[in-house]
Amino acid sequence: MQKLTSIRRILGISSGLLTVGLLAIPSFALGNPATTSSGSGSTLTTTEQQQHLADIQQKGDAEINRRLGQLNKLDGIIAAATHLTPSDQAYLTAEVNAEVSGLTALETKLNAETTLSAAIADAQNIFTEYRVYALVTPKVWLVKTADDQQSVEAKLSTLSGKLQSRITADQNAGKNVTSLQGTLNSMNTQISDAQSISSSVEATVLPLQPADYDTDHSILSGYRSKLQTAQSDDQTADSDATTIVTGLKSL
Amino acid sequence: MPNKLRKSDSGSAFLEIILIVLVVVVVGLVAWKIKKDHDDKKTATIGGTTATSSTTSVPVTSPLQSGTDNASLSSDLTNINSGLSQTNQDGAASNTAINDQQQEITVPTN
Repeated sequence: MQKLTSIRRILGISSGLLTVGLLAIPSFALGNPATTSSGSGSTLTTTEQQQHLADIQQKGDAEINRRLGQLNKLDGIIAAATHLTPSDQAYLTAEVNAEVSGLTALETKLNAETTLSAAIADAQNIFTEYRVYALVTPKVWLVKTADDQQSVEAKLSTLSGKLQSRITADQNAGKNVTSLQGTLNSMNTQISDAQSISSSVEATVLPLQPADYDTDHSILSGYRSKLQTAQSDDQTADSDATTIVTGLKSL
Repeated sequence: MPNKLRKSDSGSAFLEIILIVLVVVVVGLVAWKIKKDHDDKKTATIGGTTATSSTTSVPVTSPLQSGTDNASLSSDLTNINSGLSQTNQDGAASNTAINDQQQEITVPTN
């Protein structure tokens, strides 16, 4: 008799937990975009479904607006960039504008939904279709960094030519420039290495799209460290240039 | 009146002065021409190119290419350092953006 009572108690608790779990499914689906759910909400009452629909619409609006704010910041950064090439600037601006218009339309669509499943699908599209934080924001910064580094590398290359001219002139005047020429050769190697990395990163990162991120979440990994290597090369080249200029002054 | 020159004597003196000036000018021009010819002979043709030897023993230094003087080089270095500073800031912003990727999947649902 006592055993039967225990079994009844366990069954009661289990059914209670199952009910709570079913009620939580729609919210869970929105919380984790990787989770797919039909979101039919068949176990919910009509009132509960309407409440969930309103919640998803409210939270979806908040997420969309958070992303629109971020995209506006990115637009300002791209517009204010002084070293971005015109083509890169135009490409990134067009991409950000497309995300803004897409998200704005999605917000309108989400707010017009009348079923829970459609609202959940719209809410998931906030992430899977746009990837504002996962892809677009780091991409803009990586491209800007690579572009600015290439600008520095172009200046270093021009300076290298001038330094070679001075070293050659001093050599023709009978001065010992062996050490300076060696440093300049090292500088040229550093510039060449940095240019190769910066241009490669920019060319690879620029065309990446949200669908690429959905296929491979680690798609951006490694590019930051590559740019740090190029940055280090640039700094070494700059240090070499400083050494050469100081040496030329003392000849 | 022995000190008073006649009109014809006055004209002769003027002509004499003119002649003296002319002689001096001609002698000067001839001397200048001789010196110039002498200098030109110092120009030697070596291997098909003309090299002009200096009248002094100071070694000839070719003029600096535009923008390669010390001040210009220092200015270039300053400009490059400014660019490097900008790329440092970009790099920090990139790091922040990459760290912010987690915001993509953090969605409050309650």
